[in-house]
Amino acid sequence: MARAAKKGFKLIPEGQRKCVWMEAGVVSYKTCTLNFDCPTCEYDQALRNKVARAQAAQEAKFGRTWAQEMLRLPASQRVCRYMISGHVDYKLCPSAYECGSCDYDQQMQERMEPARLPVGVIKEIMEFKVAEGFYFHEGHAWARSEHGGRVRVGVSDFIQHLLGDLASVQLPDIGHPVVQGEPVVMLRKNGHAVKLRAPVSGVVSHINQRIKEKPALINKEPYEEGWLFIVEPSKLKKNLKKLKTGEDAEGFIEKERERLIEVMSDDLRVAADGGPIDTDVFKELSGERWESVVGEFVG
Amino acid sequence: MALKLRAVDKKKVPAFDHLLICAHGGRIDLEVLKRTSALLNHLIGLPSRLSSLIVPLESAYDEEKGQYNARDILKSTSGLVTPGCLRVIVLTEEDIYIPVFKYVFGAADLPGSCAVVSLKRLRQEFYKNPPDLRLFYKRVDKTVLHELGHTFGLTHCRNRHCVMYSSTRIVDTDFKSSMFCHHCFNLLADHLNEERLVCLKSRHDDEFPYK
Ligand SMILES: [Zn+2]
Ligand SMILES: [Zn+2]
Repeated sequence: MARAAKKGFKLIPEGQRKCVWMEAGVVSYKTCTLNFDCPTCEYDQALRNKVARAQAAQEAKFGRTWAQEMLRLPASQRVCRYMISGHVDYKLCPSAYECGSCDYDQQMQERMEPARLPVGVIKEIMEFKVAEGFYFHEGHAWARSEHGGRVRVGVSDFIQHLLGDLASVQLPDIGHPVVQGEPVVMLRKNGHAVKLRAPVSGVVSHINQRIKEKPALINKEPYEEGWLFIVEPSKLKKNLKKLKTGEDAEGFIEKERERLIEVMSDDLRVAADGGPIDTDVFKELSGERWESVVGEFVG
Repeated sequence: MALKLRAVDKKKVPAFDHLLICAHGGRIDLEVLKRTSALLNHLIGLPSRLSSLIVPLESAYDEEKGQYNARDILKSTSGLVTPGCLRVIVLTEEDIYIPVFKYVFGAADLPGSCAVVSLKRLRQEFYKNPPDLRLFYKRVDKTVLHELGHTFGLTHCRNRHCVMYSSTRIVDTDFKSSMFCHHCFNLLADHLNEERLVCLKSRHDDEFPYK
């Protein structure tokens, strides 16, 4: 509070923090309403646009972004945004306010990652699990509303089986806008790739870094530790209408299962009646066949 | 009673329209074959014959799985189709599968001439229960009718009571009836008509009481 009182023109109310733009002196008064989640902050985006426009028009006001302003300060005063936010007591910026590529920022993101809601009942549609309370997109991504209005995103257990051992998972950048139904995550397996579509629209606020190092988490816990990213949704109500949950989700997986049997049968002129799908056969899917089978369901 | 292996001259097979019931391997119980033949005579209105030809075991065996590939059985069965033989139904005591499934109760050409039904998982003994012959025959009837339906072009029905409902587990077979629902019955009658075969007995609505 002492710092706030010294620099601000107005006192910052108890429990609130100065926006980075105010801290840098670019704007005279603005508090943070988004817990320093600058990449998803509309105010931050608007001011950055304003700076860009001002620079193009060579106007003096709004000549610099908050980061550029901060860089003009002596090194000893270039405080990290997590110090401004109060998450750490003392930290100077280690990477010229390029938060997107800053290792420290990434560590902090992970530490501040919102806690996952526990998974409740898991229903089994034959070989495939469907978690209750999750909303499924036709492209097999799931969305789940969590505390603070955020939406966590992952993939269905059904598609996890088809994906098998992934070589890599390319997640969107934090701050990246995503649109329901549009490709957002690239999943790769021995030189071939498929694109997972976003179940909701919004801005990416967190990504699951652990997935990048260990894609097998997707297979092991598709509804838990295998989540992909978190979105600050923009049209959640409208988006949810297009997703399936509860019995609808179970019916959806049931139908997808039937479609899978058809897709996997190399001879459609033979009808078969029998027991569980041998999910081991998906492990052997590779190359173009993998791409086309998975693509059939995520595409 | 086991069916005795006997090489038969194909020409001796009757030339008029009929269904052929045939064994895969030599382990089959003659009583099951006879009952199946009687069932089809009664229900489809086509004469059915027991074939003393035996579909050879070896070619369809998958050593890793310890099961027989139903698709391969169907392939070797197609050689048994002679003039006048409309459909061949193969019964086997062996466990069969088709890639993607861990096991199958039956498989059939869709549409086509051949169907195969495994008796192995239709027996209560398989589930470590005491033998129950009545239940076993019910299961055989349902599975044979289902696969025969496929050969006439019928696909799976969403009505859990209809015999064309796909059985994933044996409880599905036990739950469904041995009758075709109205929709499937009409389709089957159409297919039989198309092939200018003896028509199915027309059926009153109350004979299929399930919705
Ligand atoms: Zn079937
Ligand atoms: Zn039906």
